[in-house]
Amino acid sequence: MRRVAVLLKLELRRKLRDPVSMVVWMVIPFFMVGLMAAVFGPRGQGSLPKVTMVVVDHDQGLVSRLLTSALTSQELAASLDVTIVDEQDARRIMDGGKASLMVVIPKGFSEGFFSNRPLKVRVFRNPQESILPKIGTDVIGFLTDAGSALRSALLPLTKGVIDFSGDTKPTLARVKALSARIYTILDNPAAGRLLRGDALKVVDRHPEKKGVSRSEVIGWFAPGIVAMALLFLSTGQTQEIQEDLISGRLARAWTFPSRPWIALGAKTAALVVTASVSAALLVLALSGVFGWRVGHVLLLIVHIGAVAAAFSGLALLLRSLTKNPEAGGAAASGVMVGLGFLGGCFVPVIFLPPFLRSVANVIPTGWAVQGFLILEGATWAGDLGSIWPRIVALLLTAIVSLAAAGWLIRRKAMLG
Amino acid sequence: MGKLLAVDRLVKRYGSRTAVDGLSFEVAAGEIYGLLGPNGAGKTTTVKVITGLLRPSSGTVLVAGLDPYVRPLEAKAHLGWVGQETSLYEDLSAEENVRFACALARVPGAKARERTSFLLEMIGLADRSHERVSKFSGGMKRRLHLAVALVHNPDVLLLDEPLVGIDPQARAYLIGVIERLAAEGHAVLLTTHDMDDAERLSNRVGILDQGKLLAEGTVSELQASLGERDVVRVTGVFGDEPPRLDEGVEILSRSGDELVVAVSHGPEALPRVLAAVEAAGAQVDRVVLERPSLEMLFLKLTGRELRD
Repeated sequence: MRRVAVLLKLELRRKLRDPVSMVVWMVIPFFMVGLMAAVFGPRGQGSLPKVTMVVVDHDQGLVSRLLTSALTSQELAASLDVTIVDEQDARRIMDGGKASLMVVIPKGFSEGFFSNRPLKVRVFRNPQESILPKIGTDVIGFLTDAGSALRSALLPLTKGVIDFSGDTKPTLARVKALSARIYTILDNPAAGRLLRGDALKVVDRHPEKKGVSRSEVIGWFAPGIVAMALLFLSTGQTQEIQEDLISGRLARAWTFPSRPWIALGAKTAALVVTASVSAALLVLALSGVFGWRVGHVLLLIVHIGAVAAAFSGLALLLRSLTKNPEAGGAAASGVMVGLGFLGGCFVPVIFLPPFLRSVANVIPTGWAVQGFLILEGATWAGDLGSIWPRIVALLLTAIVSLAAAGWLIRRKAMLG
Repeated sequence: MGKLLAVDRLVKRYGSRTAVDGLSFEVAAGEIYGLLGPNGAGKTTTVKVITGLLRPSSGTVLVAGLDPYVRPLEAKAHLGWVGQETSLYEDLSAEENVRFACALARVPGAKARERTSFLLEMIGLADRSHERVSKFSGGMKRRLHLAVALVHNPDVLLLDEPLVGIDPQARAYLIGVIERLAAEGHAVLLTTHDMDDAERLSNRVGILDQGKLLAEGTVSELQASLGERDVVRVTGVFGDEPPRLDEGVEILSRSGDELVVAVSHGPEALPRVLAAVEAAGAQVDRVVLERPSLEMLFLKLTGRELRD
């Protein structure tokens, strides 16, 4: 092992003597953090783009108007850009790709509401978009759910006062009767609780973090940023090993009386150490500047090392399948960036379609991001103990991919 | 002298192509054996098989009596390799490159320091040991490359085209170092396509072409195989009819613009050769009389020149 330590020291010295590439690898993640801060930080705009929605109201009744009023309310205006149009215009806007979704309220919606019949609102999503139509659909779903809950509470109380099955024109007698009922409703303790605003109780998942909005925002993205940094560092640095192969340095190393894995092992170890140290510095920066908190330092170090080893192994394996550093860089970057996207390095996986979300559970980038989420205390990602299967999976990935890459590289050195 | 390197009926095939075809030779301690052949003759493949980088298709290789495939670590402890490319770490210093090799060659710490100083002194780079290799000239890199191969003081040195592409001064320095290493008892296998290098350095030469050993012996033995004859090289425009030459004049090669013949007592025979050539309808531009050389032997054996 002493020999490996000497080789590792010299390999690390080589990396330190190439400050430009070291700085580039270090700066990329910080640059990305800067971008994230600009977009989501305290001085940023702090919002996703508005959801553009077109609404077609075939009903034109009391409840449909309540629904459209709610959608165009001041409270939702920050997130929704709603236009109420006829169906022909709505379809034209959708066909032009200028709206995220189209909502069609059918005729008889209000009558059905008061008759306690099942109701349907049709939503058409823009297939060119994924996140914004989903947000818009969720808003519609929330409002219709709230309407259903309100109907369940109100209908028994209004029974006999309003008959929507026939003539619905208001008369003085009906208004008086309805007013009397409303006062009765307001006097009813159950209805009072419903209307006081505490009917929906929101429990903060991390009460101790309440008010620290900046760290909450960074908590969403930091796991992906650190994983992404490791992805770039590992993929980029493996180029040196491919250059060593092409220049004959690896072949020469194998003519010395050493086990073949010693030279390649020292190079890979240097790569993993450099990537890990860079990632650790990034974590420190995220903690110091943005208040990102990671619960367990020792586990964090182990996890970073496992991620760096797995990513390095995969990148090296991809490079070992190619003929030169240019082709190797393209192959490794392409595949690793794809894996990074699927694993949630660039966009949190909750924004991905369900079938892609499940992919994150079976790929190394997904394990990497999930591990950082667990460490930051995202309990929905699992308790602290659940990080171990991810670390083991990452280490197995590293062992298998490095062994395969080593075999391929040695074979190439022999044939070359 | 003990045979430190023995190659016996070595065959190396890449698919249907045979790169080395039944090659056998031995190199003794203190001997420089030149493996001479054109590019693609199988020299580098042979060296790679000896180092263990390539597995032979058949035949055996013994380094200090050890088979590199049966006991790779022990065999490689006796082997030092200098490849065609100077595969050094340009971002490390000369000293660090040697130390790197010491670690790979399992040279322990204190001995590694001592060995590094000795080798850098030997190749004349002691005063520049802390400079990065990227600042070195091609000749300095080649010298350092040799030092790197010597860190574990191997008995057998494999030098694959070590003198290619370096300036005359570095070349002279390296030749001196190689001769010194042989004098100290190292067995040196030198591959080259340069006849002058082979003649200048080698005690014995093997001529290799298309994977086969065509001739082997000392330089004087090989030259003698041409007989006490000179070589006449005639260039010009030749007709289809071959010249009618005297008995004892041997055509080594003939093409549309060149005729090479071997002839006894060249200066006296030259007018007769020229007359025969002109009588055959040739228009002669230039005539050169040469002493017998390995180049001529290669030409005789293969009908091609080394540089082809």
